[in-house]
Amino acid sequence: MTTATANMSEEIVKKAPKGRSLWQDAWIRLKKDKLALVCLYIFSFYVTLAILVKLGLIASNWGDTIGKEYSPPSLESWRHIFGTDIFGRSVLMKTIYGAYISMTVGFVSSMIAVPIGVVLGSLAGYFGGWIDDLITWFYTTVSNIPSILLILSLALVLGKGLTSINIALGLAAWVGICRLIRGEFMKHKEREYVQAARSLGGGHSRRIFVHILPNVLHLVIVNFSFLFMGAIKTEVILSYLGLGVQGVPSWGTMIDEAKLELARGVWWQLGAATLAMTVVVLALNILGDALRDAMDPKLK
Amino acid sequence: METNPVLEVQNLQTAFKVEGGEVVAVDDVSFSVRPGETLGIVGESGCGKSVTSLSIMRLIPNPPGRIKSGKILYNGKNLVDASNSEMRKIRGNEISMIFQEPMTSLNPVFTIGNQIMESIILHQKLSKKEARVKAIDMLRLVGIPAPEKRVDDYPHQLSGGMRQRVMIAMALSCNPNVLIADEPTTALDVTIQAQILELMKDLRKKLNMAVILITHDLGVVAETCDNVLVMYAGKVVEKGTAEDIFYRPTHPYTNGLLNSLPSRNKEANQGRLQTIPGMVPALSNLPKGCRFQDRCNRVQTKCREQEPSLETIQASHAAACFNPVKVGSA
Amino acid sequence: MFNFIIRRLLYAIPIIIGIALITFLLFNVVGGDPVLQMVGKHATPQVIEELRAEMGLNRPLPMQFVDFLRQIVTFDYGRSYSSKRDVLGMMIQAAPVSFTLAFPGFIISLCLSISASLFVAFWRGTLVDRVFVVVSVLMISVPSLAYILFGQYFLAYKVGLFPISGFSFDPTQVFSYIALPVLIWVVLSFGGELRFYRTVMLDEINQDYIRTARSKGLNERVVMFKHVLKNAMIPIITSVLIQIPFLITGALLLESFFAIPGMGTQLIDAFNTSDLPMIKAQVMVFSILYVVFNILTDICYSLVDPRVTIK
Repeated sequence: MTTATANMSEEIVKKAPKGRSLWQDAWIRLKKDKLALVCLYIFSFYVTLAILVKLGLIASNWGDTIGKEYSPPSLESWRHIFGTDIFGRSVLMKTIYGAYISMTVGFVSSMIAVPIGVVLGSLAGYFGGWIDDLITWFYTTVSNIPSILLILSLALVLGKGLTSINIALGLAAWVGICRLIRGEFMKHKEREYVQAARSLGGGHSRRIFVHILPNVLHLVIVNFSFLFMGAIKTEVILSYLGLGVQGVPSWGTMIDEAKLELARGVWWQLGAATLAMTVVVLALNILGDALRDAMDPKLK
Repeated sequence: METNPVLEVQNLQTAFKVEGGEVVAVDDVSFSVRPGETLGIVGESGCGKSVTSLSIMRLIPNPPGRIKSGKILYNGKNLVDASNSEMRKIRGNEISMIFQEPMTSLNPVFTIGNQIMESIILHQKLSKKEARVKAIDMLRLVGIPAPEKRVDDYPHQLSGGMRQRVMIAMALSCNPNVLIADEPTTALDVTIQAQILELMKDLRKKLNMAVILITHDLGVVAETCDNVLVMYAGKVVEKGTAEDIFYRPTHPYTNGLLNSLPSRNKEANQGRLQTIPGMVPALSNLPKGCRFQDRCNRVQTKCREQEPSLETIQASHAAACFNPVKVGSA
Repeated sequence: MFNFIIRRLLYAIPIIIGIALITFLLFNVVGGDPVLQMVGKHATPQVIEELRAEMGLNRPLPMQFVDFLRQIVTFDYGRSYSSKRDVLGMMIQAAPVSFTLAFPGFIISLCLSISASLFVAFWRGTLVDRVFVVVSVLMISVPSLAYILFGQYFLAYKVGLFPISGFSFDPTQVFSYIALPVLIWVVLSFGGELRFYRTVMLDEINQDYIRTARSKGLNERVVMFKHVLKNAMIPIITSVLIQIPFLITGALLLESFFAIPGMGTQLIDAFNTSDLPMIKAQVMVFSILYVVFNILTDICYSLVDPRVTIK
């Protein structure tokens, strides 16, 4: 009887699915979602373009005149696909350069926002007490300033240009992550596994970084795509308002130029910038939703 | 003495669409209940008890779920074919249901009176004033103190036991012929459990209802049920009268369930509780043959090849097993 | 209730001081000397010194901060650098213009998206639902500038349905001036709002008490409009109320495109001319409004949700 039971449970163990981490599980689920995969490829394509521009391999000659001013899109050469602008420059090249600006802004500003949000959120949620009070006061204060005003103000005092946009967007975007991580830490620090780590003598930093943080980091990934998207959208508005990048093309400045061109029937600059931006924002939107679903432990 | 059954379920099969296929949650389930009788449906969580009850109410969320085949005869009328508006006239009026979670089953933003009155006004066409009087009567019937005051309370102002009483009042407000109680006491304290069960027993007698009591708690079944249906992984593995099940269990699963009950004078236990090893198999990944094979201590080669069907043992007693437990050998 | 409001107001004080501190640090410390920005590079040191003294900028920073706090409390934000007029007066003058645009836009998009979300929630899981989800995601992915440019170019310039830009309070003209911006407003916000309200409704529909309501034999209409909607009102009210202070800044781009002289246009002008008193006033006024509406939200919460009791 006992051996029979033992054999049985062994068999059951064998039949049970192999233990997979949340990340592997999420990846498997994401891979099943064809649409999300396509979006991931689209996003990777934009990132690749941006890297190539950064390395000076493409679009470094965006300022070259390739033909007459305002020539409409044609198949004359691949650089004429989106036509030319007021100086006869290739709109396609400008759009690609704009992608580089957008990707940079999305990436750098998220890279500023995420560490600030994660560190402050972890400290507040983990330690509680006056540390929590102070950090909560700080992020409540920042979140009470309408974000467009905060971003515009930061961009103004930091001076025009890409760097200041990055910093402005980053400094305005950490609040959401901070609030989220704080909440998760408060939940997790009472859980058994953290209590167990404490009873085994794990110090504060060990408990924060080794035990809790990996369990809440997936939320950051999901948020990352939304942060990225928000940064792209805001950069376009800032550049349009003249507070953004200077001297190089961005989707925002292209749309600004298009404002005057439209009356002359020149629609291709607006079209190219809009198309490029819509596609990547759409991809990030869908990807963000898919990531959220894939990483939701409740669905396991 | 023998009356016709008020509700008869024949070969019910309910399935859910899942990623890459379909899972049959309730497979070939049949039973019937007569007025004034209580039928217990027993099994572990995930065995299809709740899906069975929701199927009767036609409340299976669709999509992804649907009743694939079978009949649900209520006073001879097949509910599987009934239109939505016909079903609405039956729900809450002729067949009522009490749910497991009294904490979340009441709408938090309406008073309990409002929620009880809702079905009275709907089905009995009473005025608001009359419905309120009736709602207070119902609250009194289920033993809520000071019902005239309580009727204006919101759910969060009541304890779990009180909320379950409110659920019962709501379910009984239109004098239904059938009451389905899905784990009505699981979420409650033991003392409150006994009160609620006693209340249900009382009301059943008073109102001559048929009751379907869904539970995983055999103690509850022993106290209240006339007939019992034991379900495992979507199938009925044994059915019979309460005596059949408790004194002459035949299926190894029923036997295992009974042995896992603490008892005051079961020498066979030698002071230790027995458990059934392993877990219920996933419905999407059922083994060939008997569904209980991997956890069964009486498993034979045949069990891994063929699926046993319900075989009658005696008048009302039936079990689905190739190697049944002999009475007394347990 | 009264105590609650007092407590919330007291709690708001450190927040407002924090906002003032951030604003002050941004413009008086990080941003460098406002006088230099005002007079340009070619002013003589003497002129600069005089201006600094006149504006109180030669005093130590903590004192300057106290000055700023006094400005906030007395609603005296000084004079605009560019127009030399009283900043608060300018804002009060521009506010009704902004509301003429924002209010109808906000109400129409709200009604549309909430009814659409109920409709979509009713058809959840079907083709209708999927079409709406796809359309709403597409709608929020197109840049807002593109909608505005296209609407202005096509509907106003090409087809000539609306005036291209401008504004007037004249009752015979005001409608034609705000019609197109309001239309674009609705299109701009519909996708995002529908998505949000749909999630809210679906969360409600899957609750146990909705199943209970169905088990009583209620029809879908009563289930949706009574049981689902009243519960969904709780998150909806929060999101709606908190949007109100942003209505004016939300119309930023629309106002500037259509040359509507509201607070959004004022704000963009202020940033373009580095009009610091105006910028500071806008930041402070909108932030304080936001704090106030947060408190209002909590009060409304307790009115809709019987579980929340305010003591």
